[in-house]
Amino acid sequence: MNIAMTSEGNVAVFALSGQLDAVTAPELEARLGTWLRNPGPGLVLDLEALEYISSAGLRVLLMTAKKMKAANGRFCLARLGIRVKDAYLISGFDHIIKAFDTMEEALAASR
Amino acid sequence: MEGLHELLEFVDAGARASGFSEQARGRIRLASEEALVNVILHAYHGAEGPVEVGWEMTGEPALEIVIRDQGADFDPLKAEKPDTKAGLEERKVGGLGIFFIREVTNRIHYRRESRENVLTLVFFP
Repeated sequence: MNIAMTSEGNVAVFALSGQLDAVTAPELEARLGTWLRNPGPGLVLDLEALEYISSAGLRVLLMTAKKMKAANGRFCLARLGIRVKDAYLISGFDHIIKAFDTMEEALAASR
Repeated sequence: MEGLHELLEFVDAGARASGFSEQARGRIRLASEEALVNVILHAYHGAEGPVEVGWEMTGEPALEIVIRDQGADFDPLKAEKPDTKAGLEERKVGGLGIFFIREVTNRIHYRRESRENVLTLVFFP
């Protein structure tokens, strides 16, 4: 998995690519953990290039969502591919983390 | 978790050879990963141990994946189901792996065979 971090105004964007699974989830948890120590107001995960996610990856997203909520921040996902969207819907994560089809919508919701 | 990707590539090769769609292959990989991670975490409690993975396309036709380990007695089918309707604050972390296996697999079978856990996952094309 690759993680690239950029900023759009005061919204942080982490773009993930490859596979977010039991092997790679700890790396994302560490990177987000560093950012969450001093979080900005908004965080978007751009999943356009993410090919796959398992429960280990979703666990990191859930913990991130809980921490952003506790920090009064906004957190959402953008551009889920077919396999990632499948896992997102089966797990019921659509009830807890917002997802948008475009980066424009995701950024607008995070400001 | 070392070796997990290699095992998953092996399973995916089976799914590809059996003609499953892109989305179905994602689900087969998902169930297989969750089952293997459970073996590592629950049967071996995070320690090293042998895991055997095999697949075959049966005459049904169906892709049958068999996972064997020699760890502690662990029946994933007895696990509690997570509340997938819960909101962010109520939603508990964990329990999702076994839920995924149940949701995406057409048929699951667990048995304890002498000193092995044997989990069979069946997918219809």
